[in-house]
Amino acid sequence: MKSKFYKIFGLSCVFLVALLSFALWMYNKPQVNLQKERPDVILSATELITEFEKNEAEASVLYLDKIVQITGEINEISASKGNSVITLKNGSNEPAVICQMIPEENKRSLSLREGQQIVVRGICSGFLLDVMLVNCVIVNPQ
Amino acid sequence: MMKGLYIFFTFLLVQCTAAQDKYFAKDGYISFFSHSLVEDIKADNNQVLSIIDSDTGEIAIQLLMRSFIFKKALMQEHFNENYVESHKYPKATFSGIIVNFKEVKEQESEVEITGLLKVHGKEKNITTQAKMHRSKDEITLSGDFMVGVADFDIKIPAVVVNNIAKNIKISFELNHKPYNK
Repeated sequence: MKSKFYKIFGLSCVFLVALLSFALWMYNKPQVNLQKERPDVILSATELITEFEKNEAEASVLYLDKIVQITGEINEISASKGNSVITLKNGSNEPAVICQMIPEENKRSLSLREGQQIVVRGICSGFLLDVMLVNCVIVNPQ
Repeated sequence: MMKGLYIFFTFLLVQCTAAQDKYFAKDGYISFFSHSLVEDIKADNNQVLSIIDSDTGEIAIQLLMRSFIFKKALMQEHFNENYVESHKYPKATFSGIIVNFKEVKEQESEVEITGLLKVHGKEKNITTQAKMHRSKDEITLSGDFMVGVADFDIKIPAVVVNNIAKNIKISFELNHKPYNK
């Protein structure tokens, strides 16, 4: 009888610890690195911009909070608060796609040149004057 | 009021394409900070759009709630889904005026900014001091102010009520460049 009690008690303890550590792990989970994630949508910078210009509400349903992978030509590489920002242009006109890179990509961003074609993966956060992507990583060139 | 804001923005934008006296910031920085005994929470937004009309000192700011980046992914998820409801209210806006903008001649100055802040569909009048750095090809505004979570009808669940401060510190740093396209 006693041994059964200890068995159940022991098991519940293990279960509780597992549950607690899982909760703690979930709670402290850092931002995902998109380098390891599959994109939800793959398209060109121009296509993405056109969709938002055409109908912001519809495009929001399709792309907001999704992992978007886009191909485009670099218009500008800048930095904001220590993070690099890559702007992909849409032909010669505005709007553009503004990609907020993760800090790990700073070094690689600096090696890129304006006018270069690149592939960026990021999470679409919406549209102001331009389409905004956050948590971006460079997929190509590797 | 929503309509009014949009008209204001459209008006500013339309004007911007014609005039040279508009200053733009497309990668402005706004962060918020909540201090409580349990934990400190901070989120950064580096994609803030801000436009200053240097004729009148009017300022219009727009940002996307989803562009706020937290250290912890789960926190960001809860912030967007439960607290500020980004699917319903994706943007926050501020439209106001830099008081005495025209009279300020010094490069470095303290200015007062006053206007209407709209977050989570709720509006509140804000007046704050800011540092302004002004030259021919740059207007930089920086400063901070406090807002109450309750003022914007943001509901915090009882479980985490001790984790999140009642008043949140908003810091901003907006580096405007003349519009020339």
